[in-house]
Amino acid sequence: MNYPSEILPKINYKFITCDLFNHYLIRFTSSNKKEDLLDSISNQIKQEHICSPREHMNDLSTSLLGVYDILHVQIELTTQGKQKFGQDWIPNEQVTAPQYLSEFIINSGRGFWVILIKKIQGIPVDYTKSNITTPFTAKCVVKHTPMKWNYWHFSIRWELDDGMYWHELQDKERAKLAKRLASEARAIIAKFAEIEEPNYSQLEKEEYCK
Amino acid sequence: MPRPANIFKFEFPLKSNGGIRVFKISDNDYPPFRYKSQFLCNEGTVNNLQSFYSNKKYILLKNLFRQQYIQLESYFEGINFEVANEKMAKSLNSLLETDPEIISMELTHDQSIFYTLKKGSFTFYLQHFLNDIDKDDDEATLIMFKGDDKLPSYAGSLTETMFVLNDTLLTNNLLKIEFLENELSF
Repeated sequence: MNYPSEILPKINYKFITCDLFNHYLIRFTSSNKKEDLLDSISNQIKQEHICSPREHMNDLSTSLLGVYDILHVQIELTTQGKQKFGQDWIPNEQVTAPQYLSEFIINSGRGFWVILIKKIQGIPVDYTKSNITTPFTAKCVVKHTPMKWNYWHFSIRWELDDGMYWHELQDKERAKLAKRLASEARAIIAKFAEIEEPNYSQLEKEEYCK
Repeated sequence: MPRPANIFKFEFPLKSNGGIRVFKISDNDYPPFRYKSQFLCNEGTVNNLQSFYSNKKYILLKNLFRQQYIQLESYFEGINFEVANEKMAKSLNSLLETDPEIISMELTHDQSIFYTLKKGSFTFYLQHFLNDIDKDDDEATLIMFKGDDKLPSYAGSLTETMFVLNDTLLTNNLLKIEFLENELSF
């Protein structure tokens, strides 16, 4: 089986910096069954499918839905594949395609959730706390973070009011914010994520080709 | 012989008119977020409590909690089921007091209970952290939406967080309770 070349970075690609408000992000889930994905009472996506225990809410991996479509969520890199392709792609860098079985497999049991970027991009986090007079503020940022296995990889990150990102903080500082920001991320995604395939369009080529 | 109740007074400034809303609570009350009507009548409190325990929502969520705890037990190192269950009962009872139209709960791998509540056009996400064993009151966060608009969030003790939730419901006429306003003596 050949790797889908349409999701690989190409030498004539650039970083995507245009307005993506009307586009969707997609993230795989470990199940593709509606009853597993949705809480039967709230009808919202279950927390266990927003982020797995080994991953982090401070830098959540997603992909831009478009050229990368709902079938691509079934691509699962092997340990060997992650070592070779699970790294940031730098523009002008040429990459080869991962090899079936040794570097990637197809996991047909995977499902997905999608979220409209305009629902989360820039959404403010402002906390008040009884004994703190200055409120804590941050905002949600959707950032293009292409990887060697997937040009369409985007990250959901949290920018603090001093310009630093949550995931860039030292362990001690990060731990202080972890509960609040993780709660925020969980709630925002639960509120706006959907598990049905939406109507979506592909990004115009001039937005990602040089 | 029941011990005498300690009475706690909480004052919340009202943004609308600059006044103060006063809540008085007895620590003999259970759950601990009751207002004047329940506080003044022990019999009524018992009856209310019984109604909670017969409430389908409570039973459903309590069973769900047990199932999820068993599934996620490996993430709850240092918190045994009895302790977790007691903490859950505290937050769940308080949340049910707000009479939500929808309430669901999910245990998370970071040792918390993540509640979703819907009432009117509001959606509330309250995360109750179970792992603050050295503190008198557990930590909680509250994220609120009115429609799709996000409101300011709150982080603090579970008690404080519940007050913010109740206050938001009161301010938006989504909670009808008898409370003491601008009354300083009890």
